[in-house]
Amino acid sequence: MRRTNKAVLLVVLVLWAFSYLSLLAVYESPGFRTEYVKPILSVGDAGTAAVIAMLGGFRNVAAGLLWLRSDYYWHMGGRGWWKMYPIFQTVTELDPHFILAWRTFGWHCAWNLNSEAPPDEKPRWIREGLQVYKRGIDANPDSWELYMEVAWLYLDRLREAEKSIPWWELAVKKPGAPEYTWHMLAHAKERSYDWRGALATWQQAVRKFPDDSVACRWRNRWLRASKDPNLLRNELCGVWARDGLMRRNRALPPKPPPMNCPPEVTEQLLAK
Amino acid sequence: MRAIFAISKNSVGEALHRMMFQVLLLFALLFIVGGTFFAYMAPQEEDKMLKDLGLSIISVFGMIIAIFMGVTAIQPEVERRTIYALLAKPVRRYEFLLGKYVGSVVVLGLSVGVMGLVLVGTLYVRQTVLNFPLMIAVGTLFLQLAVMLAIIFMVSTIASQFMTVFAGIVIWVIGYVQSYLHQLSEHAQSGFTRYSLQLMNVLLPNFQVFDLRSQVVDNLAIEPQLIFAMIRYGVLYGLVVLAIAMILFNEKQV
Repeated sequence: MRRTNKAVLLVVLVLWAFSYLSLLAVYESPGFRTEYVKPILSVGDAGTAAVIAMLGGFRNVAAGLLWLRSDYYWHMGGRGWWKMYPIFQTVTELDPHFILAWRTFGWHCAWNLNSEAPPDEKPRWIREGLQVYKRGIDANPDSWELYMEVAWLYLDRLREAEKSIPWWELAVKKPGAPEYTWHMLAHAKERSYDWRGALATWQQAVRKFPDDSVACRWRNRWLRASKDPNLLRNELCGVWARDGLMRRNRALPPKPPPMNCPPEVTEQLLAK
Repeated sequence: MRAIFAISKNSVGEALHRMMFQVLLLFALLFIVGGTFFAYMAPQEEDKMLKDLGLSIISVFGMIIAIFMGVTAIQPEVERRTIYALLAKPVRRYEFLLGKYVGSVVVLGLSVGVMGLVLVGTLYVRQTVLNFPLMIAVGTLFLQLAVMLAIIFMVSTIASQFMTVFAGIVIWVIGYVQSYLHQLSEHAQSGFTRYSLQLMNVLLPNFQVFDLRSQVVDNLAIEPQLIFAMIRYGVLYGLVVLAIAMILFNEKQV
């Protein structure tokens, strides 16, 4: 080998060492995203992991195309809904930051597949939906949408307002959380009969969103109720009565009333 | 320097007049604009689909153009014996190689630039706001392709055109799984597996570090520290590969 080439080779080795150090600096950089790589290590099926690895930079495109396919099965209805499950699973594995996919996946399990499943398997699909949302939160801890979905599952699907409150509280703290997350937190407290907590939440919502007319209206409503025991009784009994109607429709056992709610009062409130 | 400039100017002119290059670029632009039809089929996620598809199309077609430029730069000159006329003049071998590389990088930059402009323009029509992170992502893609082009040049100094094309595709695929191999090496049970994976990480390029697709699609901030580290890695690795190409070309019997 010529002498010049030997000198160049020496320079090459030094530059290579520096380039590897630069590569390590990239790995350590705050913006370098490696969290999408970690699910690969936890994917049980080696075949899936290998396919995801080979897709490399095109995993998002593959996820997008599969997402389009899921729409076809949605419109098929019935057995098509069961075929959506593995598609959603693959989409969320390929693109763990696809928030809409996590939301739709969890909703599909807890609402649609739950309704299609035989009676003894219905609770399983509620749990599955919850697990999906929690996996989505692990991959996207700053997503207010996913906390909201968990909270909504407890509040609307299971009618367990008390269990939904911690999740609404997490959702409202995340960046970008809109006004209605505050509304739902306040309503969840109302349904738990924590009217003082609800009023405080409406007041916080008005401070955060001064133009929010809905929050203003509800704050004023609870402020009036806090000063008038009859009005307060009507509000709380009204919440209990409406909740009781929804629970009856879903074949859920009734909750005890927050106070003495005379039947004529609740009938009047339901008639409104 | 004059020789490098003259050779690069000539190779830019040659490439721009080639029918295959024009057809490739046209197809790429059609695919990018055609991506809007896929986006319409994805409710609530139109912009995400468009950015994903657009950047992927730029990456794939950029790879094809880089392979095409690398394969047609040196080997055809050697096979047609036109290289003798060039090297008979006071043009050193490294000047010839660098001139060809610079010319190919310019053509690659023009192609990626045009494709990027079309993508940014398509999104601008939908959002009526310029997407600067997307422009940065296109820039880092260009850097990745320039590194890949350097590797293709290195291979083309010693291999046939077919082997260069094959090597280019294999290196592109390996480049995209390097981050996974790096993560796997940290979890490997056996010492041999761990060191082998780490050696691959040292020797082979990692193209995933230049990929800002997930940041752009998820509307996350792109840290300047990451960009500087990325540019440093790309430039140093590219220089290493070009230096090896120069050594191999110097030793080659033409």
